[in-house]
Amino acid sequence: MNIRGRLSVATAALVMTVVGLTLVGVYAWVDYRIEHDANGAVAFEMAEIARSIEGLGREDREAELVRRGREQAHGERVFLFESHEQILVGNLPEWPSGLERESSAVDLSWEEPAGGLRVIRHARAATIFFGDDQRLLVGQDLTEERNLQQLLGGAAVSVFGFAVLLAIAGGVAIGRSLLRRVEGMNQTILDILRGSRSERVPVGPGGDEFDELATHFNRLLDDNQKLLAQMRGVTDDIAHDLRTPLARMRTRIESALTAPENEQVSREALHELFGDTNSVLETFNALLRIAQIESGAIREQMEDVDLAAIVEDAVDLYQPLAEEAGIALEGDCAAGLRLRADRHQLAQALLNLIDNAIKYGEGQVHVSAARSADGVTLCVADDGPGIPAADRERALQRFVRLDASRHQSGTGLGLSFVAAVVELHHGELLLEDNDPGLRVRLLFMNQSS
Amino acid sequence: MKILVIEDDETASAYLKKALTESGHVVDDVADGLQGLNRAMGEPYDALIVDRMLPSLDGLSVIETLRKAGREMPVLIVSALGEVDERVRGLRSGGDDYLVKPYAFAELLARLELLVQRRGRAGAPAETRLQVADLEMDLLTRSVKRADKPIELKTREFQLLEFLMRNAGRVVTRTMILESVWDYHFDPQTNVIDVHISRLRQKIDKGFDEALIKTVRGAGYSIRSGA
Repeated sequence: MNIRGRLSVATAALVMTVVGLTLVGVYAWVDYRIEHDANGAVAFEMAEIARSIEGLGREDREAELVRRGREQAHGERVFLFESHEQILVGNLPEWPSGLERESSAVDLSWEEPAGGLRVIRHARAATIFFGDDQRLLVGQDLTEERNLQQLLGGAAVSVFGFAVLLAIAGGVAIGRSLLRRVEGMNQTILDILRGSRSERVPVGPGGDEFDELATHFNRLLDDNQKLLAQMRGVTDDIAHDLRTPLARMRTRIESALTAPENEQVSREALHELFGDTNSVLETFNALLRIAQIESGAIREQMEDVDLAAIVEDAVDLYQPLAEEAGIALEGDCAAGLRLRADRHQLAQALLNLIDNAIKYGEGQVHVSAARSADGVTLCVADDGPGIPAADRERALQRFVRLDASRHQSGTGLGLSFVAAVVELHHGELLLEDNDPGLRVRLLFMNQSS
Repeated sequence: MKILVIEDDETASAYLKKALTESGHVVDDVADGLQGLNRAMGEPYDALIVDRMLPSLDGLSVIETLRKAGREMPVLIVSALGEVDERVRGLRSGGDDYLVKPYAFAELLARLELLVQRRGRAGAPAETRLQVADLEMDLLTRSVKRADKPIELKTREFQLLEFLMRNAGRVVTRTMILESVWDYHFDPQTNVIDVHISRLRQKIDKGFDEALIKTVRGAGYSIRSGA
């Protein structure tokens, strides 16, 4: 059965159960009250009678009961006193059949003529037998109560039937309206699967759970579309960046093949090709590493890292290169500064930044690690041309080298790698104006120092 | 050396076998983890090259089983590009070194020889002196002399020279240098290592007839006397 059917049946069943139980409960309560009150009245009367005839002889008792009967055998009170099966006093037409033993509470029904009609009367009664020949019945007339009870039962059945109809209709209606919302979403998903990726699920004005679901679903779709666009961009970039070295390799192979046979020339060409292949592979490796970090596939090997050591080692590694480039490379770090991090990733990120800074710096590169308000900051600053504020966001994208001529070597993936590592550590990457030059700051929050 | 290659990629395996044989080694190859394990248990090999992903039994399990059985030959793990970087897991399972495909054969050979040599030296008394031709290094006083002339080296320069001299006559790659001197496990950027080597050359080789630190094209560096 589909959800609509199940929902209708479930709703109807629930309503029927609730209404049914309520009605049965009310009926049972009324029944109980009627009997309880009547039993009380009868028992009270019997007790009165028992007290008034206590210790009396047969003659006196008979007289007393007849007196009481005359007084009481009318209205709500049912009274019957027989001797030798002859009614001495009472307002019942005859002794009820089947009532041959003493009883403290019994239901009676009998027919009685009333204005040309015969009506059925009901009562609750108790009996006392005196010896073999005399018997007394005292009761409470319940005709009106029983009639009312019957009426109530009838009404309950009608109400229940009506409630069942209403419940089934309601269940169907609720199911239909819920399903309409779900079907809307289903339709949109099918449309998207068929290719119209810009479709979105309609969001109602109500702000209910379905609207929330639709909003979240739309956000998921937006996110996906953005990722798709990004991926397409990266694919284009890869194609563009790899076409150049591949084309160069092709040219080299071609010229080596067309040149007159010469071992020396061939070997030379092979060496150059080897270098070209390596640079292509390097690009691939860098891309894969970024992708791995971004996807979280590289399991973080977090440890307590001594930032002073990281800065010192990095500066130490690049010092000769910096000197060669005529750049003063300096590093400083407050002692005892620690960060929970993947040492290798963090070191490589810092090295990438230093590498960039030496490439673009004019004469000064400063590397530092410092405690900040709510964490630690790694900073690499140069005095090169810097990055204009408008270009800073673009600079973090893959393959972007802001100098269009690309006269500096490199894959163009350095900053993307840094960004990925910072993301992995839940930090923040800021490109700032060093006036002049570029200052890259890596903020790592809430780290114990 | 007798080397067992456990690698299921036929092209890679054939290329490795050819290149290793040409370098003067005896090579057996199997393409399956269980077979590889059986071979390694049954015959004495000087070294193993094990691929991470193998049919029937993966590379790390092969190594773990070998180690549990007390087989101590050096093992070089190779892993396909794009697989999760599991260097740490690889080394923890008992591998001695970890190389990501595609690798240059020179890199693999250099690492393999380093492993075998290191294993051969294990247990031997620690060396206190290293010597290549007239270049001497005293590891106790941390001093270096060439032709009896003392040479001042900075800490890193000393470590770099020590690494070269411990592997005298063998090729060490830039990646290996970065790993053992700086403890960085990634490909060196641009030419950082080259600049360090040229600094070292300035101090070691400048003014002497023979340059001991040699550049091995397409591979790395080597310190040795003669060609």
